[in-house]
Amino acid sequence: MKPDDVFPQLVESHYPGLYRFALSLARNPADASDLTQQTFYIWATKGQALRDAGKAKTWLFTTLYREFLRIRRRESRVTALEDLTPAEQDPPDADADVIVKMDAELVLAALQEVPLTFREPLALFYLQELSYLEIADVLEVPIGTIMSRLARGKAHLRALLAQKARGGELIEFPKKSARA
Amino acid sequence: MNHHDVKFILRARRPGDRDAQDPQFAEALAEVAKDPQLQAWHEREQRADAALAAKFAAIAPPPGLREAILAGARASRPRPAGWRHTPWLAAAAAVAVLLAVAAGWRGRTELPAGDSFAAIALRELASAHGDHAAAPPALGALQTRLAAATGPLPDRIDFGPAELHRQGCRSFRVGGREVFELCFLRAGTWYHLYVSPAAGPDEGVRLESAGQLAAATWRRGAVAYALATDDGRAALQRLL
Repeated sequence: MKPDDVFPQLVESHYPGLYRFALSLARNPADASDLTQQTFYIWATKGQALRDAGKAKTWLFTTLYREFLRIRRRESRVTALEDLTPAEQDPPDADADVIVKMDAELVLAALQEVPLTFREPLALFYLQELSYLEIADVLEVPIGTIMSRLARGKAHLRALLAQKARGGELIEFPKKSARA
Repeated sequence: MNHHDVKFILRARRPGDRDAQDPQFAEALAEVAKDPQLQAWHEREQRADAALAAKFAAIAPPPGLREAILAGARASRPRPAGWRHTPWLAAAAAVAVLLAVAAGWRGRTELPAGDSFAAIALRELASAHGDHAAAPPALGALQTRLAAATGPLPDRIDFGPAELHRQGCRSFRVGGREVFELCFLRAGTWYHLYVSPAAGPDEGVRLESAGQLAAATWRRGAVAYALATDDGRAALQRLL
C-alpha cells in the first residue's frame, strides 16, 4: 500500500473510536474534536515513522491520552479508590434489556460522571477495540490495576445508570435480591 | 479461584470472542462452566457490556471532523523548501478541489466590483479560492464547532484577527488589511468565513449574491465578518 493511502485508511478506521474516547475524557465535543484532530496531526508529523504498522491503533490511543494529560491539570486527576461508597462497590447487576432502552446520550452522560481514574479504562473497554492488556499499555498502568479499575469503574457506572434511570422515572434496574 | 476472583477477572473480558485467546480468561471461564450461578452472572455481564458498548458506538463524531483531520494531515506533510514557511497555506492547495467543478458557471458569473467586504469575499471565493483551507490544529475545534452546530452562526467567533494571525490561519491581503479565512462543511455545503479588522460601528447583516455565489457581511466589535458560499443564497440564509 502506498504511504498516501495509509493515512486516510487509518483515519477512517480509528477516528470515531478516538473521538469517543476523547469525548469520554474531555466531556465536551469541541475539546474531543480538538484532541482527535491533534492526535492525527501528531501522527502525520511523527507517527508515520512507526515501524510496526500493527501498533498504529495503540499508538493513536496512547498519543491522544498523553495529549489529554498534557492539557489538563494533573493534580485534579487523583481519585482515591476508597472514595467509592459501599453501594458502588456492590452495585446492582446490569440488565442489558434495561440498558438497551436507555438513550445513548444518557449512557454517555453517566460514563462522563465516572471519576477519571476509572473512566479512562472504562471508555477504552467499551470501545471494544483494545484488550485489557492494550488498555494497560495505553494508560501505562499495571495489568492488575487496569482490571481493578475496570471492575470498580463498571460498578460506578452501573450505580450512576441506575440513579439516572430512577431520576427519569423511566426504568429501574431490578433489585439484586430478585435475581437468581 | 473463588467466585469473587472469577468475576473480578471476567469483568475485564470484552463481549464476544475478541479475548478468546487470553489464558487468564480461559481459566476463569473454566470455572464458569462448572457453576450455573456463575454462568448466569457471566451471561448477564456480557449482555450488559455489549449493550453499553452499542450505546457508546452510537455516539457519532461531529460532521466535518474526518475532513478536517485529512486536510490538516495533508498540510503537515513535508514540503519542498519553498513551502516550509506556509504549511497551512499549502493545506489550502492540497485539500480536495471540490469547487473546481464549478469553474464553468463561475466564468459566466458577473462578480461584484468594489471594495465592500462582500465583494472581496465573493471574488476570493470565485477566483482565488479553488479549495477549502484546513485550519491549524489550534483552530480545529472552532472549525469543527462551526461545522457541527445546527443553529444560526454566532455574530462573532472566539478568535479575533490578531489571534487568527498568531495561530497561522490562512489569510490574504486586500487594500492593506489582512483577511483571514476559515472553511467549514455543514449539512453538505461548504461555507467560508472571512474575518478582518475593521474600523467603525457595529453593522447588521447584509446579503449580496452573484449567481450561486452569495455572501453575508456584518461587523461586530471592530471586526468585519463575511460568510460566503457557492451554494446559493438559500444555503447562506440557513446559517443566518
